[in-house]
Amino acid sequence: MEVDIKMAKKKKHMGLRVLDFFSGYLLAVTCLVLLGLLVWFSTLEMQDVGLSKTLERYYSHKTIFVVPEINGGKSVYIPLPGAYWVCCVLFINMVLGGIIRIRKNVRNVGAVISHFAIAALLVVGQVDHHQSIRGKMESYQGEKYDYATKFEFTSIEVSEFDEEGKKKSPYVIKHDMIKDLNDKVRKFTFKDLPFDLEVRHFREHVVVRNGANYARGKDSGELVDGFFLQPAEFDVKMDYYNYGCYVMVRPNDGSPGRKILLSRSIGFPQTFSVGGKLYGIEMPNEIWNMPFSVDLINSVGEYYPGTKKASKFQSTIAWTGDEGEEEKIETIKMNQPMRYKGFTLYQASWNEPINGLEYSGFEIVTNPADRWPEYCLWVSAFGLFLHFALKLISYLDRETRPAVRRDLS
Amino acid sequence: MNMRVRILGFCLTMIVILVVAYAGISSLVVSALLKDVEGYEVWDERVVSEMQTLPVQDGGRVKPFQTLARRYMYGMHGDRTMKVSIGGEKTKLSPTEWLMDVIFRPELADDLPTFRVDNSAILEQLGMDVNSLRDRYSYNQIRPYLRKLQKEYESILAKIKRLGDDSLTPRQQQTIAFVRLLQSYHSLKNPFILSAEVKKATGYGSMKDFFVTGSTLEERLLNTGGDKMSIIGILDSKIVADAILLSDISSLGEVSKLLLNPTSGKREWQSIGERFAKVAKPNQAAYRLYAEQVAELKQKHGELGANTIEAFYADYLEVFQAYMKRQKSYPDGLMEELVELEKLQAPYTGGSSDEQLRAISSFKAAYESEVDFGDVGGDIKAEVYLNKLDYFNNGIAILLLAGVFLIAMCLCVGTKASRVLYWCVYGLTAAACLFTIAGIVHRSVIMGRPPIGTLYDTMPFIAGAGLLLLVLVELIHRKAILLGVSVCFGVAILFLAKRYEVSEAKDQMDPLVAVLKSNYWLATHVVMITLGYMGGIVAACISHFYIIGRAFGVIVDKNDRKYLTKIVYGMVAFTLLFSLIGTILGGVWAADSWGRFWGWDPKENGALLIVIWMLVILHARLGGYIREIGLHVCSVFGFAIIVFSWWHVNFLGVGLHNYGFTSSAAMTNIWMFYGMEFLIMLIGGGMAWVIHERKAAEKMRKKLEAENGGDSEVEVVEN
Repeated sequence: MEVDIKMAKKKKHMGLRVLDFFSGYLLAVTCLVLLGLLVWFSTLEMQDVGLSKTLERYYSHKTIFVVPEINGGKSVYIPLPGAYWVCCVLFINMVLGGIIRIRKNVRNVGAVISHFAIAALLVVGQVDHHQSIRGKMESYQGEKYDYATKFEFTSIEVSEFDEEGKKKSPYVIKHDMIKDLNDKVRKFTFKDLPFDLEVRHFREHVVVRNGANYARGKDSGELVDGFFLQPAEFDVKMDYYNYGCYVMVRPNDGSPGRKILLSRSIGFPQTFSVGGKLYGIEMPNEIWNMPFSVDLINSVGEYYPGTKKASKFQSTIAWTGDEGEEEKIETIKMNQPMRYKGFTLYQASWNEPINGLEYSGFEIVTNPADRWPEYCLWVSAFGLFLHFALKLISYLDRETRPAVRRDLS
Repeated sequence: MNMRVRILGFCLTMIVILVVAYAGISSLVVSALLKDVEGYEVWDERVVSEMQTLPVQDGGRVKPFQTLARRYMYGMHGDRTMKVSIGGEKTKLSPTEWLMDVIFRPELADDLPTFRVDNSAILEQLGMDVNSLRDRYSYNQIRPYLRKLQKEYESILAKIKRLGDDSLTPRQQQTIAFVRLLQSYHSLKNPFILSAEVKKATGYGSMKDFFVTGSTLEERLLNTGGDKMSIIGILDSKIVADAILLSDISSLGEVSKLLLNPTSGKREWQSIGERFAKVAKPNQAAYRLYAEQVAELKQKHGELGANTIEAFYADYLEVFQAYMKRQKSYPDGLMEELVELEKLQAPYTGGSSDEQLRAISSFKAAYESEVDFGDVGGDIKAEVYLNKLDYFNNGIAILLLAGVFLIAMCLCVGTKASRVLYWCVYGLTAAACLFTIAGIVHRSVIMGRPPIGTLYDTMPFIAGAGLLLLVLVELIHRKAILLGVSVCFGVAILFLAKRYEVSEAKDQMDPLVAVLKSNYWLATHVVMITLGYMGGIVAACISHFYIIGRAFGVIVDKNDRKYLTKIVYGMVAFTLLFSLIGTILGGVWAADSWGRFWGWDPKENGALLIVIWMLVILHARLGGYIREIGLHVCSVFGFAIIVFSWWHVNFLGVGLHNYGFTSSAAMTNIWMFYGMEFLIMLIGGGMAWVIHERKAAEKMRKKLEAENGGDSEVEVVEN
């Protein structure tokens, strides 16, 4: 008999063995342990390299393997697979082992529900990972705002100044168009502008240095108007990229070009003239147009007496949607954001009035996954509850059964 | 081996673990010799009792003076009471008595061993003789070295400016912290009680003399008979005396905010000190200009004599008038209020305790009728009662008593006495549990919010909830094992809470920042997550008992082992469920307040790690990769993960849940804890290996027996 079983095991088809492996507990435990290690190492590494870099290193789909570096950049020399791919394998394992091949009986209903919900969560998590965008809307009383600026993205904006020195609508080179440049040169042509722009030496994190006070290193950019771009260490605490690049303005009429140094930290446009007209060029955060506009009616900030500990930040806004909705008055508080068409607008900062004008800083987030992670997790929690409740009932049943038998006898 | 010896060995091991954990937590307790304080008179009990209920506004809320005094004493003295020797007799000073000394009898307070120094090297480098690495010192002991300390402090500040905070050595960090403590102590000393030095330099008897201007001054001037030299002398000495006094009280600090103007009637209380300081500071600047101008006059006119006095007098009057113009006048009624304030320190200024008691009572009465407590008002009496009942420390005392009974019970196994002792231990553990829960409820009622809002709050909650769970399970099964777990668990967590409260030196009941002010989320997310922690810790404690108990041969019965394993399995499921629900609720809260469900914040990651590890345990058990001992070893590892999430991530300095404290001592304790857990896991792993080897040998023996027809000569050591 024993021999027969061994033979049967040996005869098992290769495909079935692969299926067994992919739906088995061994793979589930391995994936979970790997995921645990990745979460643990990434949490420790965060303090040295910052959140965004850590996420990129551990959780990006581009990461096939990662070698953790903790305690100030010391490598751990344990290559681990990227969390994205571990989650993909876990997803397959859960679908095969936890949903398709699991024994279908009442006792396993909860486990199936949980596995299904967690598998859905992994999918939703990928959507969130790829699609969510965050930005900030700084609003002062009395002005209408229908745009925000994206946190992680920069852009190059060129605008013409009118005779009164006012900026006209800008021409924008978006982050996606320049992010891969490094030392390459890319030419941008605008139909209505009498010049082309050549962008080069794009860097993620730089400081602008005065050539009179600082010597240029081998990775530094060239000297323009006495200044140059120097690569800087990423500020972990700020978790903020200070992008920088050089731009060559090439007039279409063949007149000499003009080199300009740009950085996100400069904060104002640098001007140049072409064909007798004045233009400004700068590198602000990328503009993000909103499907609604916000007019700050008032903002209230309170601190606990005698301290600088915030007890209340709230704003009242007049809000208008872009589909001809009527103006509505909304109050946004801490823990009580405004939601509209997948956008969440929440109170992020508050300042004392400046020149009598009240101010509120709103953060805006859009995420196509919206509240789906939450729903998935609730379903999963329900499944677990059901599973453990059934287990508890059967345990209590087993515990009490002998006593009943004794009573009967 | 004799069973009792084994049980004793087991009990001692558990005690050693607790002691090691406690030593780690407390970072070695200071054991200084009692300092004899000469001339110290103990405060009248009635005065202390009246003073401790005085409402003060601090940390954004109204609280009793006693709570405030505790906070300061924790920060400076590093303990809940101050032990001194008065006339050779050991005396314990309460925080209220100590703070009253600092405010009302600063010259006596300077002799009290107020300052705990954990690394005496920072004093040694100044040339001071020190007794041990950790000790307590009085202000008067440190006073001769203040200049050197100030120089050292300035050089460290310069280094920070040059190279940043990260460049400091641990000793430099400790020096900075110590100097800040001294500054805080300075600011506590009542600026309105004139020290002997200032009295001598100014000739003032009390603050009242400071306000002597107008008619009294004119009277003095008239008495000069028009002698210009005398007039200059009177005016100049008055201005110089005022300036000396102002410079003495220029560092109006904390206490100026404590003793309030009862008529202010505002949400933010304004003290007499603050109102005084508002005027005193510009007046100090006016004095500096006056002093410069007088010095110029003296240079211009040379030595004062009959020939020069006329010209000097004319110029001096101009300078004097300009000074008077620049002087800001003090608010109406300030002098009267200061006179009232001086009555609070009656014994120090020659009055009686009765007089002081009356003054404090009338001061409080004025508060209660006129000060706006508003939304930040607290229930003073309830808080004083809370402080008096000291639930959590009393909980520790009850549990320690239960521990003594428990050891006795273990030594009497099999006798009738052990049954009696069992119920004693059970009763005491249940009492400690109820006491802890009562403390949590009492605090919650005073704070007007759910029980957990800070890291400190989690500790009594975990202790209370864990004890309740263990006591209930024990009531069902009555196997006594969980009583041992309860005592160790309760004592360890409540000790941790106690040491944390003292070391943090913060009022743990202060209001929460706006983003945390949500009773709904505090009552759901935070409670669920904390229950998850509790489940994991209770499971790990049982596993510690299992591993050590089995290693010592105390837990030999198969049913007992199965019983413990089932409970741990159930607790793992409990932890998974509550951690998962807590994490979801946290995500929903984060989505509402920060606009994202998940942000890979270290605290979130910690919660995720707990969920992942519990899933690993359950799946590994289902897959047959771990059995009984494996489950317990994994549960112990789960404890390390919970500590990572509960404590370690707070020290990483990143994320939205970062509590902003970085103590190298605390990190050392955490690593010590990890080491201890690793050791327990090694013991468990070793045990599993030995059992595996024995089973393999047994299998081999049976195989050989079968092959040899039952006549095996292979000798196998019995399990």
